[in-house]
Amino acid sequence: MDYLYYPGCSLEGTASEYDLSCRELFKTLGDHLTDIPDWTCCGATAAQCVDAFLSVVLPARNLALAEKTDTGLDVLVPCSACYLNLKKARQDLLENSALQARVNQVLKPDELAVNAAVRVRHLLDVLSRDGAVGRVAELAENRMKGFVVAPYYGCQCLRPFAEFDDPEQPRSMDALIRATGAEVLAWDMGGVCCGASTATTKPEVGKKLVGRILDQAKDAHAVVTVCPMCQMNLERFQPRPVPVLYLPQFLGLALGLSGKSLGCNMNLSDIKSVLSRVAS
Amino acid sequence: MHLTDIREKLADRPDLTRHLAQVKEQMATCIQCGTCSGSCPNAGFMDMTPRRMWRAVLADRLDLVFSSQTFMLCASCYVCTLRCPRGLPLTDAMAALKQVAFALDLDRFKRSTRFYRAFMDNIRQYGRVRETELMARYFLAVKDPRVPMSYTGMGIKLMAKHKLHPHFPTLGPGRLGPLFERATQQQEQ
Amino acid sequence: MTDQIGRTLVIGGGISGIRASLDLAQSGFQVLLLEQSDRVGGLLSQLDTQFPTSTCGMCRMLPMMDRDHGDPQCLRRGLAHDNIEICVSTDLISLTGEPGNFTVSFIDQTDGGRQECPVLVVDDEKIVRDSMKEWLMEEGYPVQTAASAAKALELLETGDFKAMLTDIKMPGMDGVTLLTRAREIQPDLAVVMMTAYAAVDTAVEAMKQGALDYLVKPFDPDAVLLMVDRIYKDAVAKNARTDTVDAVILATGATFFHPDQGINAYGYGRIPGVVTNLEFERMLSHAGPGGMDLTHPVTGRPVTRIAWFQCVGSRDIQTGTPFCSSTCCMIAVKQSLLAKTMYPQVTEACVFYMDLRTWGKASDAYARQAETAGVRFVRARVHSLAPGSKETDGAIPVVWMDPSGERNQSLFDLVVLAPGQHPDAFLTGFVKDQELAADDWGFVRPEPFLPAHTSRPGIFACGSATGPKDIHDSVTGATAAALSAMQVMAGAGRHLVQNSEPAESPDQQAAGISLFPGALVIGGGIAGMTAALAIADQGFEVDLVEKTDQLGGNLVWLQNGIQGADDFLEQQMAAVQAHDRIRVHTRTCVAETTGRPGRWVTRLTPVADAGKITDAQILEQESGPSPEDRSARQSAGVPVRHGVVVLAVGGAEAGSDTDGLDQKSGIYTQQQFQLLLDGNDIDSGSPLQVALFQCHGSREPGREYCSRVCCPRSLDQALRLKTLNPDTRVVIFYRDMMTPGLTEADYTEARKKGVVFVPYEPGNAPNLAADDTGCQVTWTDPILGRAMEMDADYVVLAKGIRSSLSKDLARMFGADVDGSGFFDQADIKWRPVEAMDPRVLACGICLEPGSLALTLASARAAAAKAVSLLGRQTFFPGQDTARVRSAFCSLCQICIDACPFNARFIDPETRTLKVDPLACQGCGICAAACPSGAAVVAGRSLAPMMKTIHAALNTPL
Repeated sequence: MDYLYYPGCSLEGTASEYDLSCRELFKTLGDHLTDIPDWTCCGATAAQCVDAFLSVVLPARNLALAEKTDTGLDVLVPCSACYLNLKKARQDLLENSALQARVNQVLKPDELAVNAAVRVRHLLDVLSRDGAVGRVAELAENRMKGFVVAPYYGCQCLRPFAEFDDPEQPRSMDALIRATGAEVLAWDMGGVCCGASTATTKPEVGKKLVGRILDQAKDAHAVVTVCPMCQMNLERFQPRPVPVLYLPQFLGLALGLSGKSLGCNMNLSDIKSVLSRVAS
Repeated sequence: MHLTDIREKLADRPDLTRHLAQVKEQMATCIQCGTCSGSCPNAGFMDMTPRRMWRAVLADRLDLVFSSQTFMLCASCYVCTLRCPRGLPLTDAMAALKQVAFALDLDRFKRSTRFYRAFMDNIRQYGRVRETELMARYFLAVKDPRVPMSYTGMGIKLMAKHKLHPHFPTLGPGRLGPLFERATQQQEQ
Repeated sequence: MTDQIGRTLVIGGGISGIRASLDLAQSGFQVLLLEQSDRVGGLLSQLDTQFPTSTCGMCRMLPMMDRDHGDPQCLRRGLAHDNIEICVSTDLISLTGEPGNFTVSFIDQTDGGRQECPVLVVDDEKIVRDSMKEWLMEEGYPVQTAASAAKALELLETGDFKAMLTDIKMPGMDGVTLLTRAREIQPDLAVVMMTAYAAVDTAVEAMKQGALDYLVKPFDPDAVLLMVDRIYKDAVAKNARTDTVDAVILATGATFFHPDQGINAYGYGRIPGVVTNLEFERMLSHAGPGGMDLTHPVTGRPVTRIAWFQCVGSRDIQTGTPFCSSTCCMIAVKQSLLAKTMYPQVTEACVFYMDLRTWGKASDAYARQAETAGVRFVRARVHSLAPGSKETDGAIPVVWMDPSGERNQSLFDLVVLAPGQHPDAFLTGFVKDQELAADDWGFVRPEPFLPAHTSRPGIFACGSATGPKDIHDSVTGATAAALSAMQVMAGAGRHLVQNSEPAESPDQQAAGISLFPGALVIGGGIAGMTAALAIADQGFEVDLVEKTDQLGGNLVWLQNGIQGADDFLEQQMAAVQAHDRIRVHTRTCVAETTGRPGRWVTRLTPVADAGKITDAQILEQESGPSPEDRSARQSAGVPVRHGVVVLAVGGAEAGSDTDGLDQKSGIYTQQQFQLLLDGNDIDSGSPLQVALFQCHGSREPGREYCSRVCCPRSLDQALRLKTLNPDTRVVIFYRDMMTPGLTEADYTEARKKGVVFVPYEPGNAPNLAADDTGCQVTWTDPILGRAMEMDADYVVLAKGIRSSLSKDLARMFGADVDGSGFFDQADIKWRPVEAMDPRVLACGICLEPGSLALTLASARAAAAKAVSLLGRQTFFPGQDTARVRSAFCSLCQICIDACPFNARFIDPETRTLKVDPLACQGCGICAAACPSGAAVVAGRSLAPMMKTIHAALNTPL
């Protein structure tokens, strides 16, 4: 299938490997991603802390750009924070026509208009519900058999919009992981917060929260994530070395793609054990 | 901080006063059941549980609210919003408190305020966040040599992974300058 | 059966349906009882025990008259009565008509039911197919699914479907094309389009091409079911059975929230040891899965630590249930008490609650009993559960915050959830089809001042169909609904069934006793007037006695605070005064009664200076004048002959005599403050400071019950104060806000308006310091942990209600008062408006504290009981009651003294010993006491009884 692609700022910087692996994975699965032309920042956490209106305008600009493509395609977002900002803005605009009018006044000089018509979907939503499981199973040939993976979902792809998964007991990664031949670790930390940007401003908090999560993952060979912020925190505050990789990296490896093409040299955590496993 | 200090600061900011009144109104049906506090992953690090903070909001004890770090520690994980039996928009209300604290430029939140300001400047300037530039600006803004030091280890790591790309600051109104301008005007109307 | 015989349709065979059916049946009317499931008994067939007896008393609902026409067996096993036609596993197809002539059609599910309506679901999304399949199969529809239009067409070629639900936007052939192709294959197929986004235009277009309707995603399961039910009903209508009835009683109850719906933070179905309260009820039952042992459902190990979590899917706006389910708190109290007392192994029984709703006259004492037995009550809402681990040996760790923010943790083997109740799909459909007025949540909204009436004449409602109800309120409401149905049938000129007398010897027919054909109603408040009017309207004479010179009772001061109550009161007073079968005796009280129960001759006597009478004097009056006065007044008394008596003497605000009331300092009782509000005597031009103080002198030794009316009234007063001036500061100090059922909405509304709620525990109540200028209130906020204060302009003390029923008056008719001073019911749940002798009835707030709606319900219920008795007039002994073999009887009267129910007497005319079949409970004490074998209980003859006893004694226990 075809999707409009919104990478978001992190995927141009600290999460470059997430971007690389996403593009590579979808190419292999036969899907086509088109970048939203001229996309800009969604406002991240900062906008909603500083200015409520701007925190709608910034994502709205990108929704308007997506609409302007006139493709009717869904917008695929790998970053959970960007996903939530875009989706929340879309929801606010749908529910509040006065707000929509005000936003459109701001956008008008740039020849943009937002109707909140395009659908915003998280990477995991697309992977788990648009038929990728079958294709992964076909191509992976059980390459990950015997491997135990802890799926880590984080928060903002699950909450507050219970769009594609159970926000208390997420399961959407299970089928994808199993499709590679790997086993899913039964744990309760998949939807527990890593501290998000609080970990940046208050590292001591991040350290404790991440420690609590990774302690529970000791029976897994790797943790997989779907959010740059989670990935960063889980890699940065490790109490003991745990391989942490993005879900598309993991799936890409399972499909036999090269570690390099998936940016596996860029992870901050030591993922050699995973790479050597596929190589053998 | 005393209640009078806060009231003084709010006196010439009717917009913020209105904002706070909205938060109080949103919280009015809170039944103090404590589901939010029990669910919050950061509650253990807070000087006051979210339940107590919301109670203080309802009791108009803004001195207690703004002497606390509680709302700053909200990581927007939305678990409390998900579970609140009253369906209250707790995470959004936390963000609203952050907005007020930043707008009032309260001393105790200086670091966070600077960080988020630097972040917004970065977006205005380039349209997208350039992380190296952002950190540099932030370090300049906090004017505390210990802060950059604490991030050095991380920076070197990122640099080694080719994830940090030095940019040269651009001058002028910035990539999204006009849009920001119009948004501000729109709000003033 | 002829057209002349009155016949009522009762929909729903739970407690309310059974109660209403039995009331109608024993009055001699025909009942058609439809039940969707395969048995009657509803929820109660799963509840082994009820509070406050901690046993089951459901059989106490069995008829007391013409007992042989009903099957005297356990009602949890089934119901049988000559006048009730019971149709289980039956679906209502349609209902049309008007009072006196409704046409109902219904179908037996086993004979062309839902099995005959196969459904095909077509969607490319698996999750949609699966969930639709699950919902529909649960309701009994056969379901097949197809992931594409092509597959659907394949299935349509081979199978016979009645309905197809299809997505519009699918890869390959779309839903609209499928619609056209499908109808070529099967022209009568009902097709419903499903559309994901607001692509409603396409759906509407599809309807032009023959689609029946459309559904918009995301789906509400109820909407899907209603749609398919509609198709099903159309499809089977031709096979349905049709019947005619005069009136309809809707008693369909409510359904439970599924704890695994929504976010399922407690891991129901996922964490071993998390069960619902109904599942736990079965575990607790000796006939349940664990037998005599209380064991863990998964590990089989003995259970020692149990936690109860309240409000799961109730009082929860997130799940669309902003109301309280009324019953769960008492279920938790009962279960925890039973677990703790029946099983010594249970070391920890802990109830986590938000407000412990022990409303009503018996509940609070029962909760204290549980506390004494060692049950721990914790005011906290647990946010979520994680499964037990190896470290906890499988036990579930429960973490909660106490008010100060301290984190607590305990381990439990079992966590029992209290799922809330909400309207079911049937009720939603019925309300829509019949265009009944309903509230925001879909419960039937009763007409003002007519608790059982819906907005459609001839259709009545009771039980949880009108909002979540406990057994007591359901049973009362069902009897009130039966009265309404009787009124319709009488209005349509229908007759009773004339039951043949028991097919016994003429000798026993002669042993029947008959009642005087009139009623005495004591108390001229709204309860007494309502009962009197209802009885008189059915053609019986009524004497209505009122001690003061004015009718109306408490409603006189309450009327301004309740919308429409003033007109209502005026109408009722006028109707009572004008009724040619009612004799009103004001300034009168009861002096003395003579005669047998049912053949009472009661003398009335005037009250001196009734206008200025005080409560103390009233009590004295009711206990009868002093012996000196008595003889003097009796001669002036009017004798009334009556077969039933209705006690409706009302009550008053408690403790207005207590110290500490000082209106100078602004301290008022709730009633006094209400009068200020109603009289517009509160100047709130500038914002006021008002403290409302709940449970002042209630729910503590001396008055150990909750009066049920004070919390709703305080909320009402708080809201009025906020309306007068939104800046007025209102603080409500409470122990547990008692806002069961739909009154919870007012609680939420008050918070929205900025009313502050502060919980307190007994012994830690806010402190009042009054002086001439006002009253200072000081307290510690439990959440903030800070001392707070308020210079109150008004402090309002909610003191609760006390009953005005005196022991002497109750005992005059063989009844009694309970420990709290209210009427002592035969059974608080199952026979809520009558004494052990069914001819002594009570209603209103001398029966139990309650709102106007409850008072009206109990008054109409009492009237229904009275009408049933008076309509039958003559009563014969049944198989269960004692008989006298007169030839052996020597009139020694030992049995009369032995009988605990005052059921035996010597008939002065025949000089023979007789048994009063309405009073006799068939206990057999008379048979044991009789020295000559003249007293016998049919079916309990000596030889088999002795054998049973021997067998019991010889069986090792």
